[in-house]
Amino acid sequence: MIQLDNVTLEYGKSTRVLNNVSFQLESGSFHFLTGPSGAGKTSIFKLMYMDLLPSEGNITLFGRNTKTLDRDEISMMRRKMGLVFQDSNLLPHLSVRENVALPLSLHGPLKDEQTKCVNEILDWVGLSHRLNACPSTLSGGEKQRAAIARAVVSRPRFLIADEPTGNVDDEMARRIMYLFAELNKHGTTVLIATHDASILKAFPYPRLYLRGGNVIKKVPEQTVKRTA
Amino acid sequence: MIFGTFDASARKALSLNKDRVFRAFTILIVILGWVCGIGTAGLVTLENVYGAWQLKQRSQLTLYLSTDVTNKEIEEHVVVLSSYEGVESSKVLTDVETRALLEPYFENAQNFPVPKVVEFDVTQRLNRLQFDGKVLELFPTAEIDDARSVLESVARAVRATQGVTLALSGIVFAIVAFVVSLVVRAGVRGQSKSLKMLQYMGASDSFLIRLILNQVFLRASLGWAFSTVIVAVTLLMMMIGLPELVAYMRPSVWIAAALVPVGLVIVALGMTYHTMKHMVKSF
Repeated sequence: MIQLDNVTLEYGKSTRVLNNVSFQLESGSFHFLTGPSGAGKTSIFKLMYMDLLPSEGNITLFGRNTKTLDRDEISMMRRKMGLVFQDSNLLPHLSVRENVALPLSLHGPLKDEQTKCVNEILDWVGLSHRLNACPSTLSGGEKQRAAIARAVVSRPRFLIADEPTGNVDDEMARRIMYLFAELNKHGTTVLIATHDASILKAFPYPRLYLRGGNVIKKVPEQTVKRTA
Repeated sequence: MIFGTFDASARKALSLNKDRVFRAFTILIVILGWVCGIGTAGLVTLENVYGAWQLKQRSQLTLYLSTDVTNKEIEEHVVVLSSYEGVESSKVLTDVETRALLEPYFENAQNFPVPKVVEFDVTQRLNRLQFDGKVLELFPTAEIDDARSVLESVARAVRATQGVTLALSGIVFAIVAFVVSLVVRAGVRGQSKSLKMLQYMGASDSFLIRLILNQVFLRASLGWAFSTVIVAVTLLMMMIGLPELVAYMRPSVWIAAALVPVGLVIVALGMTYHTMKHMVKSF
């Protein structure tokens, strides 16, 4: 479903961030992307959501080579994806509900069932009491849960989360991870970038370890079996 | 909305209303719309006044005959000249009438013999070449006065005035285009994060362009509506203050005054589209 073939990414002529990276994510799978800071995790994500194009090699998303897509096709492809950023990236001038409704608003005014869906998702992430709150009044964990709600509200086929537990305490990190696990049970392919050892230990999903611009796939002994 | 309906969250996510200059955009359109509307109304009114005056001038033709031409000759020849197609009527002025005409120009008009004057009311159908030839055949010393040279110089003045007004309108349109380009650029740059997030969520270029077009359309239309009302009030006041203009304030004046500012809305939308098309690709 998602495939990287000998992907190389260079910033300028001298800085090579990724070097011949190849891996494949099966539909409905759950993977961690780990590695030291600056190893290129965020760059891989940027390649996946087509903010960048590979300098060499190919990325295939939902059966399409990202290099061959025009701007409209990229937009359509992004609608199948959910993105969670490390710093949540909620729009500060929108309420929590408006932020979460944003992906659905690309199709026009929200219908009743979509409004209901937004409320349900916010309930699911435990923010039903903060619907009209401004992002600036939310705690780190609440912001991240709102960002997750926004990423999943359109029921994406592929969810990418870049260090989603980076700014929250251990308890909140676990709760967020359970949300991702539950989403994965419903069939969404999940890729999470993290270097949080406790999370990796508690959730033994397969890992893609990024080192020196290359990816090594590691499967923990106690791999979690999907129950979907 | 003509560019599609949007959810409140999308409208709020990328809203130019946060930009101060954009908030003043409606006022700018009102002022420039008023300038354009009044300019256009003036232009069309001038054309109407000029057209009516020109028609009047073209429809009058005067023959100045020397004093030695007898009244009998005049009577006979005027009958011949009046038979030409396009000659509506003719009138031979009496000496008293001619003296009255000349009095403002000659202090001692009473003391010298006055020329014989014949006035013709003519239409466009009159073949001037044939008519003038006949006049000179019948009255070899006649002078034909038809105000053609005056018409030409007045026409030049009218066209020059219209040219200046059009140039001013062009400047107004250019100002609107420049301001819109500036406002959209600054507004969108100030919200680059929102725009980027919308793109990450799958917002297409056309969606983002329409989102901004809608806002510009709303503001510009509001400005147009206000400017049209103010133009109408101004024209009504002009009609009260200058009643002689009323006859020339035909429907065409009102229609032109209301429609030309629409051009400002169109220019604003065109410029927004052009600016946004380039901007969304740069993010």
